[in-house]
Amino acid sequence: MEDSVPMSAIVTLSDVKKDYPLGKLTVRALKGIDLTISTGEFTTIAGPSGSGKTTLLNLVGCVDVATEGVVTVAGQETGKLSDRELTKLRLHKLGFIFQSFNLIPVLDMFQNVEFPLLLQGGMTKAERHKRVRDIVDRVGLTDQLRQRPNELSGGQRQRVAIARALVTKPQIVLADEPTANLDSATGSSIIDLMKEMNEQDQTTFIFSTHDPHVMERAGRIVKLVDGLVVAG
Amino acid sequence: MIGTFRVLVLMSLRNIFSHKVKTLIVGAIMAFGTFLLVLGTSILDSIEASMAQSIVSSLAGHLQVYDGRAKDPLALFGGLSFGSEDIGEIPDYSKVRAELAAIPNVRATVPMGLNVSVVNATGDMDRELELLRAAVGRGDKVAMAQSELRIRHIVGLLKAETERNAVIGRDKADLDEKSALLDRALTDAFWAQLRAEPTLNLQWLDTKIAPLAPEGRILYMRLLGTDLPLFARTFDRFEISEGTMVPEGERGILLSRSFFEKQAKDKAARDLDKIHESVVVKGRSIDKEKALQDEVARLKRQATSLAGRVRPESYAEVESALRTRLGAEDSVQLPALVEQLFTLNDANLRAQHDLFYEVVAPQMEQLYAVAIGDVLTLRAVSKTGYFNAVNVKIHGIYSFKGLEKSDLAGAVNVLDLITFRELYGQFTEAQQKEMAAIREDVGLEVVKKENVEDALFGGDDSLIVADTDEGGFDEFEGNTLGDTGGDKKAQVAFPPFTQAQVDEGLVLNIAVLLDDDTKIGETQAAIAAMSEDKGLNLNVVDWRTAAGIVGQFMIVTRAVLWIAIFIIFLVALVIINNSMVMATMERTGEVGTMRAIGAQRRFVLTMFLVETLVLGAVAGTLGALAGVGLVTFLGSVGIPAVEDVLVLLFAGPRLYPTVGPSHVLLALVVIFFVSVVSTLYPAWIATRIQPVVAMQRRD
Repeated sequence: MEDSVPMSAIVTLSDVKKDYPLGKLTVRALKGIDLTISTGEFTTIAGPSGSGKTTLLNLVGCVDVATEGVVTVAGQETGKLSDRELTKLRLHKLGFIFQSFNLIPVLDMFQNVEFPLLLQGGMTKAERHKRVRDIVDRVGLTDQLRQRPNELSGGQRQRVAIARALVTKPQIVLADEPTANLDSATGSSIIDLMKEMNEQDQTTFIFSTHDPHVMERAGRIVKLVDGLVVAG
Repeated sequence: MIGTFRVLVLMSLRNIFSHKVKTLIVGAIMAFGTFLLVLGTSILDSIEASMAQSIVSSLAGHLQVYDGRAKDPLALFGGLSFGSEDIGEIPDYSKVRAELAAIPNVRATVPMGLNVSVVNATGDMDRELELLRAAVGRGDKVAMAQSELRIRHIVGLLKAETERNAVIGRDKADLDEKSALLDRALTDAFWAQLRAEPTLNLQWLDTKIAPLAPEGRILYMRLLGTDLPLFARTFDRFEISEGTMVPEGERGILLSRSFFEKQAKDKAARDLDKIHESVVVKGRSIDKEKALQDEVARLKRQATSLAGRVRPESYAEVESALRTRLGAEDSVQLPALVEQLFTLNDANLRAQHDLFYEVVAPQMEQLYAVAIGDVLTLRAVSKTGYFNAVNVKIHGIYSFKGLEKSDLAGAVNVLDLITFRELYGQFTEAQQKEMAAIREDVGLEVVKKENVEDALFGGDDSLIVADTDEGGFDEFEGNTLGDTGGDKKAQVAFPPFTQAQVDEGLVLNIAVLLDDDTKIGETQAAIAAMSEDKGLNLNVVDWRTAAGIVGQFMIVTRAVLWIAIFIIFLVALVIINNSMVMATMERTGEVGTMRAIGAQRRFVLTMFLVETLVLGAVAGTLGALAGVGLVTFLGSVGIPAVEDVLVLLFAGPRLYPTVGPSHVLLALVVIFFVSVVSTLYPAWIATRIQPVVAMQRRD
């Protein structure tokens, strides 16, 4: 969104390295990443399999910490936080959209969307319900409120996931290949929805994909090859 | 918070429904465990309550106090050495009573002494000969004629039996000899001779005929010597069901209803009762059970002897009545009719049992071996080792209200303490004086060192005498000491006694009844401390321990139940744990997603715990309901005591268990505890699931 006003950095990575143990060996998935993402960006992380896309998203999403280097998310240095503090950061500042939707199977759609609000606490039932209804309205699923995930189509499920990610009004939404399990038309509509949310709420979106059609829609493309940023 | 909890419960319920196999396995185990707990504890408590009631309120009281020098433990209902336990003695009851009365929570004390005695019931022939002798003595011609009739009747039956034995070919010479003697006793010539020359012919009957007749039965009686009026007042379920109470200050014995019905009753009649009870009360079957068929066979073998116990004057009447009722031919004799009456099966049992009591029993010579008003000669081994005998009059028959069916509550026959002491081998005051005089005569003044204390505390000279050289003591027996030694009948007169004599004398044990029976342990400790303090050297035991084997049995049964429950729950714990771990593994992605979205570890832990608790609550409630249902059902129909040991435990032929909130509560607490413990490990594993797995999920 080069045309928008100058924005503050919400995510910064400086010389970030990440090692994974693989049997007796250690695999270095990220080899020194320097990256800044500003508030309100609609960024895609692109690259071939094994390039480190998911690893990078994990670090930004605070579900993993870097081996070396500094990751700052919403002003907090993740390497210095405890599990408890990281969880709190995820709950309040981040939203997640997963490749395979990851809805809680035993809860209906409404309850799935409500779930993060319940974890957050501090809201009356009425406030919570209003918030859920509003976001469900926006993703266009008002008629399916009481359906369980297994009664919904793939596209509908991903819409529920988007609603769940956005219901807490997070600063950053992370999406790991959100369209990989969807047909192209549905995938396209999902990207439209994400884009719409991004524009309306100034929520920062960071998502990984290797779908060229999706990449086209992104405001910014960060290309990863072999654990290093090659463009973006 | 409420919202979060609501969603937790909702998720738990839905997870419970969506993991059906796990839910079925874990739920079934939990339900079964709760069911078993409710059933086991309520039945056990019911058994214990009925036992406690029949033990505490009939004999033991809450606590029992006895001599600290006892060599054997006190066993009120019999221990391993039947009747010969050495439980020491308390020389002066009044002193101990005073100390016990000062202890808080002690409501009453009752002095006691237990003994086992043997009573010979007179045989039919012996009794008739006695009556004949008396009639001859009085010159009562009518009574003599009656006796003749009865004796000839008995002899006739003996003769018939001898002939039957001859048929099956027993020792011929011996039978011929008997036959000749019996034939003579049946001739009119003999009885004419007897009228003319009674002494010689009575002697002939005594020596030649009487030995051929069956002996009188030997009855074993458990005796409890006590302060009878106090006993009756303190154990308030006590009631006289026949006869009268022994008046205050008088000697006498009261037979327990169960002794009267089970020991004193005619053996054949009792065997019939037992078979009747097995079928009618316990629900057993003669047709199906070999053991009962054997009992019927044994009963049938008694038919002939039972016929012999029918009163001669009613013999023909009973015979014809049975013939009609059983539809037998005119030639069939009474023994065969009784045998037919005793040929029992499930179908005819009730009718034939009733027929026996309607037609035969009322005409029996001695349906009971003893009767109210009889003077019994009790024999028992005394403390110093010789056989002692006392005579005591039967005043009545007693039972305990509500405990009529309990063998425990009717285990002893109660007699006055003074008579008990005589039987036990303690000297009367007069005898003690006599003894002291003798001791002075022979210069036997040396008091053994270990007896000094007894002499000081007990003030009871008899102890010193008893501990002196037995040989020297025996020399005076028979000539000087009169009726204290040897196996001979004691005085038939019953001198009255005073309350002081009862109180200030020897007892073997003391029943202590409490105001608050929940504080048995505390009061027991208080009595033990008092005993220590005052140097009384007393043993204090609770009713369970005092009950001997019976009480031990209860403790063992409870231990077995708890061990069984422990093992079941240990297995349950492992199975629940395993299936929960598996369920956790299946839900790794779900948990990871929750963690990624922002659920803390604590939330995950709570989620798993709530899930098992909800399952535990549902399964536990179902199990508890099933348990309550079964116990309630059993409580209305009763659990039959198919084994004799169960009759003892159930305090009757059937147990009617009750279930209370405490049983359900206990079961639920245990099941909750097991649920939580079995879920801790899988729940802990779940908290270790990293949020990053949500990203790797590809399903």
